[in-house]
Amino acid sequence: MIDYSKLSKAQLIARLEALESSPTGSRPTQPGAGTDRHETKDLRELKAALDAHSIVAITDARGRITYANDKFCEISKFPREELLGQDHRIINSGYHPKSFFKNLWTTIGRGEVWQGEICNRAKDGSIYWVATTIFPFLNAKGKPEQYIAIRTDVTEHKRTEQALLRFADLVESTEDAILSETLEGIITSWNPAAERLFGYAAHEAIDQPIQLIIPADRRDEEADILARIARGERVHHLETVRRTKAGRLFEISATVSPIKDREGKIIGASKIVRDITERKQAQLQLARYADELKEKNKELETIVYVASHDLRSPLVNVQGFSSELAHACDRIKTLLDGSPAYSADKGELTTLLGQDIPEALSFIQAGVARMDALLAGFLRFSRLGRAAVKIQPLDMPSLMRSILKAMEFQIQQAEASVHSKELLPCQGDPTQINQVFSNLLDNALKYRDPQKACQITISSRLDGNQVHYAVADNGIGIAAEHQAKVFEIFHRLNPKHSTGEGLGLTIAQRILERHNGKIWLTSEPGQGSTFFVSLPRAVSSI
Amino acid sequence: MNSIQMTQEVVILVADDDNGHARLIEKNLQRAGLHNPVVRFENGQDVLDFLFAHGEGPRRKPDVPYLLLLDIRMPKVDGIEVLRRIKADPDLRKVHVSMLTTTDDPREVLRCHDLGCNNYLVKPVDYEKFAEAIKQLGMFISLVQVPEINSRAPA
Repeated sequence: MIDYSKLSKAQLIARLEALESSPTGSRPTQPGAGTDRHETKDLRELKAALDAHSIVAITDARGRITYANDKFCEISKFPREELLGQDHRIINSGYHPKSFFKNLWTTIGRGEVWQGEICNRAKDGSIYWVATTIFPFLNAKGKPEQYIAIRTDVTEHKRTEQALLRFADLVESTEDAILSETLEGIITSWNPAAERLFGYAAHEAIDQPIQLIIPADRRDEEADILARIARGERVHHLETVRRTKAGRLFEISATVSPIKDREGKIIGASKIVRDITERKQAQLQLARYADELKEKNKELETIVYVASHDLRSPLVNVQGFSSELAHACDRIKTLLDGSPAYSADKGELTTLLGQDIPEALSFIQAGVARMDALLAGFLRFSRLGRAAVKIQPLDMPSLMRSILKAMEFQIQQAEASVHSKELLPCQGDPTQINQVFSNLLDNALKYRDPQKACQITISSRLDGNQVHYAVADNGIGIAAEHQAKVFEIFHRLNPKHSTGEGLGLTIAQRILERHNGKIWLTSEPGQGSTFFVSLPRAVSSI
Repeated sequence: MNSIQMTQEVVILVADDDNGHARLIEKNLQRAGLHNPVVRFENGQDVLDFLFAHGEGPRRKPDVPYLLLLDIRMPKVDGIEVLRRIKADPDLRKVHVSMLTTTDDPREVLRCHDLGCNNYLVKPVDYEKFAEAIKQLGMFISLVQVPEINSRAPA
């Protein structure tokens, strides 16, 4: 190949003349008077041929466009009259630095041919690339008189090239090792991440068998993968073990895809490999944490269980002996009543035996009763954690009927009207879900507004794979700042106005946790509360 | 011979590590009108030693009917183990054993029944209930013929 850009114009003309005079030249020089006419015709034909193939422009010495062929107009989207008289800045894209054009002008100003790829902007703003040759015509003094620019549209080629460059850049810069191999398992490419991951430089790995990085006990695996690739399959998220140059084994995740040639024939495999040592360790750590947590939880339940038993034991004494004291006081009173010596101090003794001591005892006994209730609550809660959950499809309308029947007396006492809409079935443990809704209804009754007729509505709707149940009341409601606390153990909104150990919602929440369900509420003080319960929808119809 | 044994007074054995509980049991038995002799044990080992006639401490006498009020959570040997050993012994299994404990765990109750306890009482914190429970037990003791242990006296 001749590099035309290295030739001066004189050399080019000489070369053309040589070609034309040679026997194989396409246009042998005609001798005699007709030569000039022939030359003109030849030039015209040559120009026509050029015009048909290339984008052609001619400019004067100052660069003003004096000729623009149809292809130039077509690609630049400028009408000819807008191009003529302008210089090439009209199609400047701003892509090239000033030095680029300076160099161009210096070259052609010296009478030399310039060749290069130029990025231009069309009238509509679109960008195109042209491979350009600028050929200066010199006057008698050897100064350029005009320039002919012959260009070819290389936009598509350029785009592909740039995409490839970006892609290559990606492969170079990614943290994932990317390598390719032939179907015979010979490494054909090896990116910098592969160098870092496996410890082999590209030149050490390329052309080597892939076994380089495969531990001896995993060789069969690779043959299997290549067989699958040869069948056109892709292998996703293959988790396996690889070996570094230093011999260290580590866990990786790989995606292997076939590489095809132009005809679509599979000629190799590309692999994207990621070090998952950390992920694996994190997984193990997580599993350990889960185990520990389970263990801790079990421990905690045991503590709660044992404590609630052992703490009851002293209470039996406190309660028992305070009653013994009460008996003793009564007895003293009886004895003193019949004693003549008693009259003198009667006033103070009466106060002591009839008021002070009984008051002290009643506080002791009330305290004991309260603590006993708390311990009983602890026990119930700890037993819940150990109870097996038997999940089955639940016919909610019938479950709700049995709850309402069991609570009939309470509902009547509260003069409440309970309206249950058609309820969707769900999945759950019948006893435990019964407990959840019983607790919710119990709360709705307990926290009713005495000024209003108590109304409770139970409804349901489907939300994806969950059924949302709503238990809405028109009771006293819960202030926003208390809403999160209602699920806390032993929390009672209004201890003076209600009975119970403050466990209903804690237990409900605990039950739902074990059902992959949820419980939450919306409430407006003075308007009422709505408790929502979500449970997995029934998997089979009942 | 039978008639002599029937007049033999039942001895109540109280196995409870809590002095207060033991005292409350005694007081309530008395208040319920039961004046049977009471022998107190502070742990499971002592009551086993007494019944199986081991060790240096007191030993049971032949031909005396015993009734055992047995707590579960006790040092050394717990009540469940005491119950198991008593009910596994061909002679001692006739001893009436009432579990008297703070535990109302259904699994624990079931276990004691499986092992052959004669009844199961939960120590209520409510004193009135507790007194009532002991009174019921007293009625039970006075009404039921408590079989004496086989006269084959231990060595």
